[in-house]
Amino acid sequence: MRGHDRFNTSLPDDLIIEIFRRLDSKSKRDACSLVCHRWLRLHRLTRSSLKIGASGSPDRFLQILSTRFPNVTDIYVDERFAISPPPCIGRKRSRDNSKVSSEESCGSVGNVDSPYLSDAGLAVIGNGFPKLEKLNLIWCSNVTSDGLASLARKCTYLKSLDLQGCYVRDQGLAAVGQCCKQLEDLNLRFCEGLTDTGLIELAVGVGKSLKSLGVAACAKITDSSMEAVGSHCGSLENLSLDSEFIHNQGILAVAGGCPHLKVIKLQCINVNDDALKAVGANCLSLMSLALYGFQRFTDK
Amino acid sequence: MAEKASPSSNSISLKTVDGKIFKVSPAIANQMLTIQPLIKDSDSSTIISLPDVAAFHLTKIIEYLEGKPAAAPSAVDAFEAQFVKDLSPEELKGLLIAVGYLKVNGLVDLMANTVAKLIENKSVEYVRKFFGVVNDFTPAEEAKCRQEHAWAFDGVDED
Repeated sequence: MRGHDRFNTSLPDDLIIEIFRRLDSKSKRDACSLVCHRWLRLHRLTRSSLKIGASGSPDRFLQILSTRFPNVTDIYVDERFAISPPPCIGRKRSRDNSKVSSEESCGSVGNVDSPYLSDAGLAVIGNGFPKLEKLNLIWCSNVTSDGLASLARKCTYLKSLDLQGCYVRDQGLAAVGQCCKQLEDLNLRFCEGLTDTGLIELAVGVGKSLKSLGVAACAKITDSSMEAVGSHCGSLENLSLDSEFIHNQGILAVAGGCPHLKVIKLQCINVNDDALKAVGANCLSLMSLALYGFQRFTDK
Repeated sequence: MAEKASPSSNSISLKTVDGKIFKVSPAIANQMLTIQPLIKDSDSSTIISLPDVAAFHLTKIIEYLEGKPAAAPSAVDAFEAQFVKDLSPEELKGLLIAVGYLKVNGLVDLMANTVAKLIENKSVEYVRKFFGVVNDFTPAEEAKCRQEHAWAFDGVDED
């Protein structure tokens, strides 16, 4: 039996990894991991992305996965289709909820059996995946600023962050701005806990690297944030805004400070022709401008 | 090699595991990254031994290193395609190891690509057979692994 294995034993690890890299889909590589223990071990080293749905106990899963796949750079957690409501905050948001008390009761770090991703899970990500570059937390409503801040301090190579539907507060976003100096891509959609304070701090912190920003349905993010983006984020290329709280003033500031903008998507009912004129005059690299639901634009 | 500008006649002798000696130009030898440090200190009398490389494999490697620059830029792909097409599976595996050992410029890429293409979409059993791998999983372990791939990740199990 041993002699039969000769080719495998004379093939060094790095060559096998080179071959795995060229198997472009996950399912093709999965088949290779079943070949033998050694290939399984190598396969685990080459895994670069994880996708976790509504899984039951994501914190615990992440714990297991972090020991198996130390080289992961992309993590995608999507709890939109979770089965039952989380214990403290309901899936449905209401703005006048007393958020402070609910954050306190949910953020109990150390509890790894929560059915939803919690700060404990973010701590696991921070400790277990130091090479993380891309993190999507979609509707992970149990994570708080504390968790995000602790993750930001560990995952300093983070380039892309999507916090859609996460109730994180300014302090968490500010920590991202202070620690993740390579951040290029940020999506804040339904991040209702954020105010200008957080986004301004972020803009100051990662303004040089930020290329893409999405803000939608964040009622407390206003023109002040856009002014900070305009003064700090000179390399911004991609901007997507959906807000009734952003006016001409905000757009004018961005247009004036971000000459490299290539793609702009606006769904802001309080913005009118003057803002578009400024965009036209300043953003000479613009390739795509998408306007939705405007009542105040004329054909001018 | 740039600083010394050694004369091109100063060829390097490489000895394969089956005892054949090949004389190659420094330009060719320098593309085998593993032996690069040895080349600097060698003169015409030194012979570099290559314990993991057979004469057949070294012949192919030299053929590649000489043929590729000779091909027109637009013909490189065709040259590479023809180069691998002529190899039997056994030759391919042997060459992969030799190329990996010598770290031959460009050829590691080509060989890894070629092998990847051969095993993609193939069953686990085929891959084991191709590489001569002994399955060291117990049936229970293998079943667990298969199940795990369906589990937490994408929920897709194509087997």
